Amino acid sequence: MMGAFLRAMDEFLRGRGRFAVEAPLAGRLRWLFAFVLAGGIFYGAVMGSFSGLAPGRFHQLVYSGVKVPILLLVTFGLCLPSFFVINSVAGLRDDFGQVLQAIVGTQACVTLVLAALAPVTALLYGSCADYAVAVFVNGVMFATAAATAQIVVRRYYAPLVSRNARHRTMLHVWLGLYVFVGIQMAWVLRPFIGDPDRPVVFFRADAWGNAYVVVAQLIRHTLNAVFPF
Amino acid sequence: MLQWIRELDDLLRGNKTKPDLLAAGTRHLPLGAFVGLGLVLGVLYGLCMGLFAVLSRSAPCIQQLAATAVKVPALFFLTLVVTYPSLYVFGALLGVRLGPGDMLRLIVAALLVNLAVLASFGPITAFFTLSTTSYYFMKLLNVAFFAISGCIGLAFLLKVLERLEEAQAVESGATPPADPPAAAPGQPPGLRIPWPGPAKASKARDVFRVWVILYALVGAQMGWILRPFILDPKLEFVLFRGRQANIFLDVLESLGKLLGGR
Repeated sequence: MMGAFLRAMDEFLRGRGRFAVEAPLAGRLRWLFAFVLAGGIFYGAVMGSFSGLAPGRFHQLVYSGVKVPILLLVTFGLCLPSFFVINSVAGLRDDFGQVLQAIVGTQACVTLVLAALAPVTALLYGSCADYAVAVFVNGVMFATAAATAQIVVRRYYAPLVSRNARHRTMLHVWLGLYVFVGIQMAWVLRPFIGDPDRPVVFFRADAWGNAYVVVAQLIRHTLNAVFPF
Repeated sequence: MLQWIRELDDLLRGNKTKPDLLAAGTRHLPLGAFVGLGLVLGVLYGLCMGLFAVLSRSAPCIQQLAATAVKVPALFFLTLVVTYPSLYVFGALLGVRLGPGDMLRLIVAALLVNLAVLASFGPITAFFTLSTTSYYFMKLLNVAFFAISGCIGLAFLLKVLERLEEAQAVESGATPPADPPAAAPGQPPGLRIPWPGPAKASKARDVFRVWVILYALVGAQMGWILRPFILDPKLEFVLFRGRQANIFLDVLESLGKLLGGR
């Protein structure tokens, strides 16, 4: 089982065998979801280890481990209907199987890169006890994973775009939609890391809110501070 | 219902708007099924939109949920009722070849595409409603979703129209539209043959382009008349609000209020 998983992962990362661009689509999707789950849970657990290794706080590891795949998969599920309809209207419905593989593959790549970066996160956690630094480190890891996943995006989207240039626009639509919903999803699912000074909770009582409203308030405060009139 | 879903799927995929089908007219577009589907999709999005009135206040306002579920499809179909006559009359005056039935079927099809895209945003609206207390954010989010789906629906309409022109031009054996033939030197102007085939067909597109602007403006104003859709948590439920200001000023004001942290 483990051997099969690792073999599939290797093929996916290299884009060979079952995961070669021209290979048949059947049977790929379940592997991709398995990567999202495995990579997400692993990185989430490491992410939660900042505060979760203290006695009585082990459930932070479980909470964080569950939240990373939830963040990706629920965001994916919310954005999929509109992406599907917009693709259909754009006349790209026949390619949707491949499109689906590409976007799930992107998420699988994000989580696998995150999982690979987990030891670095753990090392940085071990060398610094500042919560703000932990938040920053994770931000950098997610940004790195998202940027690296563009390799998979390009790999699977290149033949689609060469067939029909509209796929490029659709890809931008997907990224825009996914990031827009994903930011709010991440905001709602806080805390991911767990502040060591606060009790372990699945949802933070004061976290229920809107990330964009908070950003709007921040902009206003900044403007007021810069132009105090 | 399954048959309706198949019809919708065919429309979205473009199977119903293939040039060879359009060459024979628009009779293959089932008006009844499209209207029924449009109503269902409108109600679905209305439920997602009206959820804010249920979740944002201590006493859930179920009336607003019901009202929004009715108002969203009403908004689209009333806009259609208001703008269709002008489309038909101007189209007929300018010599567009499409008959009134063809025009109606075409714009109902575009309306259905508009509603399908809007309804597909429903889960995102519902998710933001669950986690947002800012009325102004929800208002702007909904305005954005209506605008995006409206643009897609109208782009679909113009695209189908283009295909229809091409199909009919091929059907009538006409060459692609070109500049009107200039009168030969020495030929009296009265002898110029202004054969209207393709030249007239391109008029259809012009008429529809102007109509699209009219439709968007009327749709926006219709939305304003039918408000509240979301219901400000500070206000009580009423079916309709009085006449004041307009939607464009209100959107700007909402943006200001959102930046003001409300």
